[in-house]
Amino acid sequence: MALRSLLLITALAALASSVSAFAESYTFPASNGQSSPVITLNSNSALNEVQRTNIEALVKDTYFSLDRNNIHGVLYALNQGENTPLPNWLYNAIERCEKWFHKTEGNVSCRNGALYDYWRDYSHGKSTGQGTNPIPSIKNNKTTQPLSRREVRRLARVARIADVHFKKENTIEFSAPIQWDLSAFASALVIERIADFLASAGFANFHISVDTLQTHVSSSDVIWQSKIDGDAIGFSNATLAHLKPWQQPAYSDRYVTSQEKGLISHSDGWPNARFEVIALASTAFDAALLSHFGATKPAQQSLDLVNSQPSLALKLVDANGRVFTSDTFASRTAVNDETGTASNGILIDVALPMFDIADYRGPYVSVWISDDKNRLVKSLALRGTSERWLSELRTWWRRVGRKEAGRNSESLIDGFSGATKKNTPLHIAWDGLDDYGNTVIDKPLVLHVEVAREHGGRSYEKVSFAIDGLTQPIEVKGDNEIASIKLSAKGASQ
Amino acid sequence: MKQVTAAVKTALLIAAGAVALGGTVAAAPHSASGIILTYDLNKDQSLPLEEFVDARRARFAASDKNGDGVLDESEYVYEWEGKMEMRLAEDRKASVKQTHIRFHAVDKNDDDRITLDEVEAVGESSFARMDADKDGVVAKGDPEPAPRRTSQSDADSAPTLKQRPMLRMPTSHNIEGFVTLYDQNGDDVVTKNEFNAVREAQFQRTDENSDGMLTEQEYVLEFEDRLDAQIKKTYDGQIKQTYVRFGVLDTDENKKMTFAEYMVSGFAAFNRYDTNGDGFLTLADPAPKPRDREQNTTTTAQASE
Repeated sequence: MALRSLLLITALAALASSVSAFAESYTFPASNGQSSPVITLNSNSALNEVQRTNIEALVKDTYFSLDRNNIHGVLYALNQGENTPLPNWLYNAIERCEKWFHKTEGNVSCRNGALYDYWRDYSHGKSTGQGTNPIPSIKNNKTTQPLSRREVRRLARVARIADVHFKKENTIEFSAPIQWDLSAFASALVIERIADFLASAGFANFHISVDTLQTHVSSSDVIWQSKIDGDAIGFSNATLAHLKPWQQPAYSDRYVTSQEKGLISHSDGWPNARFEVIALASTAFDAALLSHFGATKPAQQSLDLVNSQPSLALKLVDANGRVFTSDTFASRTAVNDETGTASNGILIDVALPMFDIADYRGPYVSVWISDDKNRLVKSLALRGTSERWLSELRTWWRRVGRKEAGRNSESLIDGFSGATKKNTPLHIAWDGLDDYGNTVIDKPLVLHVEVAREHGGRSYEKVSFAIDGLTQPIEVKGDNEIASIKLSAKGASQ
Repeated sequence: MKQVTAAVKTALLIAAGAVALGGTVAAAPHSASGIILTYDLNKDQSLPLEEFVDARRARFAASDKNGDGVLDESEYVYEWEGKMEMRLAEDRKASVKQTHIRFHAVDKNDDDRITLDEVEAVGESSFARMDADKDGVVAKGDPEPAPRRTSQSDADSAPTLKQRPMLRMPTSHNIEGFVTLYDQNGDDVVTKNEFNAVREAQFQRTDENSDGMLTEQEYVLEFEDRLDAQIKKTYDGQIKQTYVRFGVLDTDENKKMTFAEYMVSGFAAFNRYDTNGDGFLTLADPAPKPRDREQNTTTTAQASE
């Protein structure tokens, strides 16, 4: 049969002992430059021909439905304002996307079809101007417009403030500026639909990868080992997304690739590439949305979000190779199951006193770890954004901040600093890895905490410790601007 | 060495003097700091005339894309366009960063939201500051407000090299700018009511979801809109000015700029800021007398949109 020739069936060599049970692998080629899913199954299970046909149809249907420009597609109909009920999976996807939209103040959104059209028209207009490639004419083909940052921001804004109502029977009411577009998350939806199909067909152990997303499902919590840039990462019953936005064109299709690099930010419509992202979530869709958010927003913003949601874990790497991870990232992605100290790390709690004065401003706070020679090991927290005031954290400024502020590229301050938050205590979980992801378990270390407040005082405390020597919590009482500092091993009873 | 410098300088001065200066045509940056930062290749914060000439020559050569030894109009404008884009991008970044900081300065209670009360509190103090004669209105011809207290960095005696930003937003920190921004009925007088009305309208416009509060994102995005409008204006104005400058410098009007013609603007700028005339441009040179020509564009505020 013709179908059989479409399906490439390959046997993968066992990668490691823990994955040796997985052997049978199926690739489903997608057309039109879409990403092809690869399914890997246990060596003792296989997909029959009917199942393969079904999966292939599923993949096609997903890409087809999500193609906004396809007049027979369901998303096209929705964007035209037709009130036909949506298939469950699509209705749910849009609903979930809207939840992210509200959670992130519109920084992750599926409403931005008009914005992507603007980028498409701009990119096509630009390449026709150069006159090298024959480009098929696009509807409403406009003359080349210069890229206007205000216009893209306006498009993002009108979509953001529009109203959306989810109605019964899988219909959605929304106002005109919105053009639903889920193309950035199409791979995730392909994975989810395949996973649902496999689960309903009785498969309990499988691995699906599309693009840079991979989902692993195991009934016995077997950990799937993956390698990202040489680092081993293990996970189970979750989806891992990996995004490197720096070299990614802001817009690309079969015909053109924009020169602008980065992901188009859903809040201001402009390409942005702050971080390389490794995101872990219980569903593929969440992993894809989280990776978009993490790549385009300041580290503190996305890490705060992730730390408040137990199902998510996040690792960010800035352009200088500096690593930021969410509290649970190390333990969630540990390669072996045993919870040794290696993945445990320590907890640091800093309490700040409240001053009962009229014009109380939240203090500037820096928490960092150095080795015993005063070399920076890890920046843990930085509250306050003004360089003028950050320099009031004098010790930190001399050792760390000054060098960082002088860098032209995205510096620690740009990527990591966040708002002052009154006297909210700091609770920091540190995984025991330095700024570049290397372990420093057995080294003598010094914790530094420095606090400075506008119209207030300045306090600085040091605490010497070693991670593997931290059997008892260390507590230090501070003075003035620092109430107390507590270090404890993660996992130890409090 | 010093003598050589002087000799070179004299020779070049004569050359420069030979070309009649049509007004001031400084293509080089409009500040000593700017010139030093742009041309001081060895970064020793001091710019001798020879180094300046070398750097200008290198820049001339780099601009001369077809390598015919002269700059035509498009080469000249193209080079400046590239420089300008870079500087505008840098200025934009710094400006946006500052906007985040401003947000937190206005957000007095640190709850990550700006309310109309907080905006009005800031407005109250800035109106009071501008109303130096305390007559309850700010009008054209009123005395300028006292300069703000100098910050610590100003108190440090050693001046530092600083490129003047190319991107400058309309200011409300002088009487003229303030009146332009806030006078609604065109009588050149800003009453408290007018002032509050404009600020409230701005607040409503910024408040995307009309919940009566501004988030940091709303606040910054609104400012970026005005910032990008100003960038567009600056950009267009600069390009226009560059064509004009080419015309002025191209004294023999053959649409080809030779290096000597190119250096006319360079020498004019160098000499203007080398106020002690030692052939070295440093921060120790006293600032030159201000030109009493047309008003600087930044001091004339434009009501945004």
